[in-house]
Amino acid sequence: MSDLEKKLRPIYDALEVGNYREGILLCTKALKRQPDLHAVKALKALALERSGKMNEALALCEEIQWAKPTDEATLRTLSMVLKSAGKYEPMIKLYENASKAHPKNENLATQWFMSLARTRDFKGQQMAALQLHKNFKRTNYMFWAIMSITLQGQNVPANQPNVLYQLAERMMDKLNTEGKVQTIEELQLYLIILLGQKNRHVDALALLEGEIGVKTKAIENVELRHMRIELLIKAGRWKDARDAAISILKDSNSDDWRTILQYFDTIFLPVQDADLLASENLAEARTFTTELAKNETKNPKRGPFLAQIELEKRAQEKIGNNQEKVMDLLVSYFDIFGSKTCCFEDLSGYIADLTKDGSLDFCKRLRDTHGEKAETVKQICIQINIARFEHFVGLHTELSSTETTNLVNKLWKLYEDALPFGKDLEETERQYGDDYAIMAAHLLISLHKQTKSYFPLLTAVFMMEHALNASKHNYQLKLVLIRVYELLGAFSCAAAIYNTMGIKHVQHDTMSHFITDRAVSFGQFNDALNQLYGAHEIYHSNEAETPEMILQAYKYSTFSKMQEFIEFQSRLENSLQKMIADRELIRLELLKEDSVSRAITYLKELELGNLKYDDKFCESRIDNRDTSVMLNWNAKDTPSVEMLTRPAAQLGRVWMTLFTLVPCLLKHMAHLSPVDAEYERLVDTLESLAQDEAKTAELTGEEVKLAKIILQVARAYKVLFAAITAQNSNSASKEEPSATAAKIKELLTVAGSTLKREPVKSTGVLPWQSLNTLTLSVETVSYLNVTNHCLLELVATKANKKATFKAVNTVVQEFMGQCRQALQSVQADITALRNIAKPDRIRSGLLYEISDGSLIDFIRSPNNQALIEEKTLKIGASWMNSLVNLQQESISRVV
Amino acid sequence: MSSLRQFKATDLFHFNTINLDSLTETYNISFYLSYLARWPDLFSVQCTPSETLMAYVMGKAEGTGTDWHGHVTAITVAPEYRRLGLAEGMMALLEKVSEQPYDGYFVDLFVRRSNKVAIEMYKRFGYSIYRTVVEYYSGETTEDAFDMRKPLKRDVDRKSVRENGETFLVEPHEVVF
Ligand SMILES: CC(C)(COP(=O)(O)OP(=O)(O)OC[C@H]1O[C@@H](n2cnc3c(N)ncnc32)[C@H](O)[C@@H]1OP(=O)(O)O)[C@@H](O)C(=O)NCCC(=O)NCCS
Repeated sequence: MSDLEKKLRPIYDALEVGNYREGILLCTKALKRQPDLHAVKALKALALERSGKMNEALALCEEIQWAKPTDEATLRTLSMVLKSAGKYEPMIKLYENASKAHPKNENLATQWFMSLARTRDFKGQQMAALQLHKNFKRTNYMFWAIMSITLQGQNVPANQPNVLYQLAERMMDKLNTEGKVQTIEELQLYLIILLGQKNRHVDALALLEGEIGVKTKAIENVELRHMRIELLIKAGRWKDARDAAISILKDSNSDDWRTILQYFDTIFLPVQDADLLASENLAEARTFTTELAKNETKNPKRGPFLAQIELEKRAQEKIGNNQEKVMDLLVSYFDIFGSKTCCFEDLSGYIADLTKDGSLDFCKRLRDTHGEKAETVKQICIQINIARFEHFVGLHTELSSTETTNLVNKLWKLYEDALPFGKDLEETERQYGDDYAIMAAHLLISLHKQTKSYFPLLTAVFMMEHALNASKHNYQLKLVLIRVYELLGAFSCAAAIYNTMGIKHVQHDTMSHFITDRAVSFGQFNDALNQLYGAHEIYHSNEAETPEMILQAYKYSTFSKMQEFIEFQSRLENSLQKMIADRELIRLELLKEDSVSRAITYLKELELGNLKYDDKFCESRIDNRDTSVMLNWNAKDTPSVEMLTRPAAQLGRVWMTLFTLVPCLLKHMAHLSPVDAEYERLVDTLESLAQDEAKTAELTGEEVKLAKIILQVARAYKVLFAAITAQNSNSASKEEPSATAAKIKELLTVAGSTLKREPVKSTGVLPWQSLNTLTLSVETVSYLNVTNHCLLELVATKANKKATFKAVNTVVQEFMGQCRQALQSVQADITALRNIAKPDRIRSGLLYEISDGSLIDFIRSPNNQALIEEKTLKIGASWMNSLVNLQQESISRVV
Repeated sequence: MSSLRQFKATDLFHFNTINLDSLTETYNISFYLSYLARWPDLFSVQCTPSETLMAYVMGKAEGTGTDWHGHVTAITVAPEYRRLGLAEGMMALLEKVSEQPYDGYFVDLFVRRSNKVAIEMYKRFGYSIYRTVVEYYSGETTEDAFDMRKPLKRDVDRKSVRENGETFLVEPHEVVF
């Protein structure tokens, strides 16, 4: 053991068992004797970081960085600390320096490359890889270099000459002639380079079919096999392409849709539509698909049958007069696969292409064959599919309320009738009739949209909760519930369901919008914050984990995944949902500060670095939100259930801009900063947002008002700031103080009248809309408290002669009165609304109304009364939560 | 009518129909990406014509000597798409890839002793129980796993098939390659 190792051993031991205090002590002791021992210093930084003292750890790191250590142990430890702080840049220089100092150390040089790869510094990577290759002569380093060049070239527009790809290609060619391109991944890199350039598909094909292609058995790789056919089609080698597709479909996977589509390309692309009828191709395709379908005897795969439909549909599009054939195929497809859930998805696209009469006729033919028979599980599945199609072709729309109610009753009965068939199902499985229940809920949602009544929504809640008892894990029931609870203003209920869904990791990015969208509006700020912070973890994981995975891909030379990993990382990094969540977090954090001084401190400390709002930034956000996961059988081109159940317009770039501008403006004012170009830009952007109807359509009415009000006060700040500056410098342009006051008064009067609102009506329920109105009122006033304070402060601290602006102070104080009034109206509303949320009132009021004269069998059934009461009380409790919190928030904001 | 293709990292944004099902666990980014970074051809997905993900299988190649084999880490089919032969198609592909390019001796997988559906399915695909891993699954309740294997061409002596493998008990630490 070397001297140093002896010193380090006990420290390592302490850290290994998680005894960081001991570790820190040992380090401090060792450093006293020998202050320049970087390895120990780095370990101390690590121990500090692990015990949560990030700032101290980073300060120590900085010290070490200055000393430019070159030993592996120090660098490794240092990089661990910096990595956990999300700081990747400093290691680049350090590893570069170390590998120059020890040119024979391959590991250091590799680490240099990796540190560059972590930050996606492709050009740097190229240099490091070439250096590695020069010093250590391994071919894989050359591939790293080529990959790095390719990554630099990938953003060059397709129509421009790509010198980087040309360079990469030359390097590849050279390796190839030397016989050094040997693996499938290396071949794939070669293909990426060729196909990234214009019109090189013939060369790519030659490569794939040439020596390396044969050597690597490229054709047996699923992706390359697919690529080859694609290239053959591009090259017009129809017969080769067709033969290749046929052999896959016949010999290995008759279900492979990608290949079926390629097969059709070889049929349709070579022939003009006019010649199609007479061409051999169509006949050949008919024979082939029929033969494929014939071969599906036991456990038929769907592919060949859908291929027949697809073929005849295309023939119909191109030559017409083929409707009947398509129809017959659709019906016989249903005969084979009608009991499979996916049958609806398989056929709905084709049904949508039929005429209205055609689609009705399709449904009629299914009914004629299958009637309403539901004596076996298989028949139940068939019946549900027929119902899905009937819904899809419009048989469930444009019904009167009574008709809808009858249909809901019928569907619910079918649901109940199906339950006995599933009594032996595992707890993890779904009941066979669940989709009947969901369809009933869909109809109730439409009924709510039509009548504006909230009783259909309540009914949907009860039904879904009931169904959930029998299918504990059916996430489709849960998604409907979440949305309906939100429409009903019951955030706690929605969150309780959401929390059972096991949503984790990357799903936080795609699914959290179901619970976090405008979560502020429910007035339950802490719960909303928890949801947002929980979901936000994924973005930290992306920063910490994905770069390491990119390094893994280099380590295993998996070049085919490199661009994909980078795209994955960037989709999370630039996620629209992330930007929305960031802004919602600021809103909530600011709302948590109920005193003006704390709000101002928060604003002053707020980092604006990420709060961009320019067009380029907004447009380059990537929408990863999953909105297609919710079941939907509504007709094509009509709003989906996911859309119909949004409490307000979907959050998007306009919303994101608004809630960027607001904190930016407030921060500016909180600092009493001068009106500069940036401030003007903020005001201009807000102005154009507030006045553009296309934009405000993406916002709620309350949000638009908020925008307009903030615009007015931002202008007032500007007026006042200019006036004070002119007065102070006694400039010629200075105006009469009374004129300034008048201008400000005018602006604030508009703000004040925008702030005024009608009382929230009490209709027995407290839907999202009502809570949103109340919350936005409170939010607006908390911003105004800040801005009012800033206007007064501006006079108090910036004006040389304060007395001059007395009139301004009076105007501001008047406006503060209006803000107080706004809070008082909120309080008055809440006092009235609290009545409807009280358990005894719910029992005597809402519950009575729910069942009184209801035409819904479910509601009238005595068996369901306990559930109805329990769930209604839960909804009431959630309302009460919101109201109590909003009450407190509005009281504490009276200044 | 499903396209059987390699899984892409960006498919993680679209796998909710599969992963929201309670039987399918969602893991962190590293889990999926480390498989993709090393065995991109053993991670496949089945999707609909409109690119909805229906099912996926993830696997790896591991072991030394005659233990070198393909391993099925996870296979799952969204509830809506079960009993369409999707699992069958994915397993066939994984076996094919384990043979070429990996040149393994067999394919194996662990399955909960209680998962009768899956066990029967694997038997139909030519797998048999090689050994029982005692209390392999920990958590709220512990459960045994069956290590099921199917020989590939290279296993000419069919060493991966064992009579009454169910009675051959091993501890979890003994099954790490
Ligand atoms: C097990 C699972 C992967 C099967 O997927 P699948 O695509 O439905 O299976 P396939 O359609 O390819 O079925 C192949 C054969 O397996 C058998 N099988 C599959 N599911 C079955 C079931 N629920 N009941 C009885 N047999 C079944 C049948 O023999 C079937 O052939 P058949 O339909 O021609 O009779 C799927 O049910 C699943 O994802 N389950 C949850 C996750 C899980 O348990 N994974 C396995 C962990 S090791």
